Amino acid sequence: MSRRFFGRESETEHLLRMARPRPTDELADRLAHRAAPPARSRLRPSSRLVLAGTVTALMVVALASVGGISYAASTFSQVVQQVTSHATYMGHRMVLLTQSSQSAARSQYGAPTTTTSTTATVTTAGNTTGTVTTQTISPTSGKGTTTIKLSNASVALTSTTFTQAVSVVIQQLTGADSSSTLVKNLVATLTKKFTDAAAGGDAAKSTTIKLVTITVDTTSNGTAVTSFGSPADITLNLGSFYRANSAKAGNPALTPIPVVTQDGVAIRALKNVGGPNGDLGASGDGYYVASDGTLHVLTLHPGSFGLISKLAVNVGQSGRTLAKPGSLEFGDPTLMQFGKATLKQVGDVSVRSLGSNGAVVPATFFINEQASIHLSIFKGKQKIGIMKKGTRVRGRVIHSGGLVKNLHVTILRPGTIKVQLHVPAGRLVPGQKYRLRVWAIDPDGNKTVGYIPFTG
Amino acid sequence: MRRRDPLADPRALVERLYAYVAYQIGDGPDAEDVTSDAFERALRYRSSYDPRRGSPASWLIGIARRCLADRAAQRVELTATGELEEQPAGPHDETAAAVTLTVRAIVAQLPDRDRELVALRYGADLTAREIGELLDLQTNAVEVALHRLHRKLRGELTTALERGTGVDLTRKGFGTAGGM
Repeated sequence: MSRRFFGRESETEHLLRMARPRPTDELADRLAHRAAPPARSRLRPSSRLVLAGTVTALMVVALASVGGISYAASTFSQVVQQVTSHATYMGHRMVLLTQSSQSAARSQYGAPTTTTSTTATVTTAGNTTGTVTTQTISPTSGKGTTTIKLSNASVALTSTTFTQAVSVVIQQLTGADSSSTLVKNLVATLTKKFTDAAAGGDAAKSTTIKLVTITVDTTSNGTAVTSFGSPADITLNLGSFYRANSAKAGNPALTPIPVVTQDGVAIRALKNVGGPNGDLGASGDGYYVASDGTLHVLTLHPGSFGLISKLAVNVGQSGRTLAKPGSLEFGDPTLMQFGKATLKQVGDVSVRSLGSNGAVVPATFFINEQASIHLSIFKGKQKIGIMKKGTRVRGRVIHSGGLVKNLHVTILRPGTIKVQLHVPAGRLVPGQKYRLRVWAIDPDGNKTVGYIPFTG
Repeated sequence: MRRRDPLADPRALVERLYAYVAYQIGDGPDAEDVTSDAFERALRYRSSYDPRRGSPASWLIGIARRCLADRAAQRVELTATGELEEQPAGPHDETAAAVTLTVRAIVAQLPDRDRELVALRYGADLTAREIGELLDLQTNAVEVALHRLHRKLRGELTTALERGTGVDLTRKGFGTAGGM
């Protein structure tokens, strides 16, 4: 029976699959670990390795004999590639990179690299004028990676990034490019500026920061390319700006974070995908920080990528529109971490009896960003329930409400949270072990779970 | 006969299990609890799994259905909070996240039987035949029901997505205890 009902998967089916809820990594890891079977196999490990190696070797020989390795891997064959892209990273100049044609045979056996550089002046669609450095490159094989180098950034395009002839532009936008819609919007969005020593101490310039913009068109008819076959890897060397401002942990609003924007208006925080092979998800983009400190942005689509203050971010990692910076509304970017929240227990729990009215479970924990919190008390796997009426959260008493298994509160001001949970009589047994579960979901949908053990 | 381990690929199964449960009762801590319960039961009954009676996923979903039934029975004692089960979303109508929330909100409003079908087909990723075995229905009946459901959902999704935030994504009641 075909899994695709009535032929091709419909848009409805696609949406239903795309929207399927996913477990947290913590849950998936924990359960998968519980299920880890005793490792047993009829083949000894060494036998399996020999077998796998033999099969792989046979496949390599077979492909190589017909010249298929690089040809199959390369989508650069018979391609005239003119690559242009924008780059605005720490005040670097505009670079236009052109890639010439290559044949399958040249892909197979390699051809000499030819690089020429010229300087030109161009006017982009964004009405931004700047100086352009033009490079022409004849790729050597098409099976490796083409890297467009800037002073403090680079864009790596693998042989499968594009499936047809394209042109890509890398352009520099500086604070002086005030006619740029992108720059103007970024500056206007910021309500607080800070000094970037690397940009000559010009606060206004520093707010237009660190953007690598990639625009791609096909060379055949100029149609915009909206998705890549494999991720483009934009490497940002974290310069003095990032180091200086990352250190301002006490003022999180000044912490620069990786973002993407298509129009300079909607500026979305990128999610950390952990590494070069991380899941880019539905957004098709993400970042990771390599062990050498460089920041890599991976993208399957064109756009402008870079580092910018949280104050300028108005779309969360999940794509949800955020509240205004400083508004203290749920989703205030200055009170978000753009990643999972950190939960820490503060002190111990000492249950206080209220006699026939039950007991109070006082607990204190710390959370470092806004979050929607669900509190549950467990005895083993059973939730024993919390009486809303009489429960206190940060000193505020809840005056009504019955027994609930999940008590929900919204934390708008991160920090230390004190709660006094009212538990009805007969539910807490002296000497028995219990756990208070703190289940937090931040404005971006990231989930964090913590447990606070206590004795009844 | 050598028995097959139904939990040989646990992570993929956990993802299907969670998706099924969360499509049924909403993404959140309750879904995690039910998923954990179902998986713990599966671990206990692991050795009794019989591949002739269905795939590991189908077997696991069967366990999850019983957990959900148990949960429904317990709700008599402890009322649900009626509070946040979904994150608030702004008027952002062109992102994958907004579409996801829209789809989930529409699925949450489906009748129980339709929601179960969605959860089994698109959450647990079961085939029509496997769904039929679980629900004691003919495969053909499942296919027809799914087809009708697609038509119904297509209309609702089209309407909702065309008008942006047409569905109540925020689920009123968010922040009953107020912002703290």
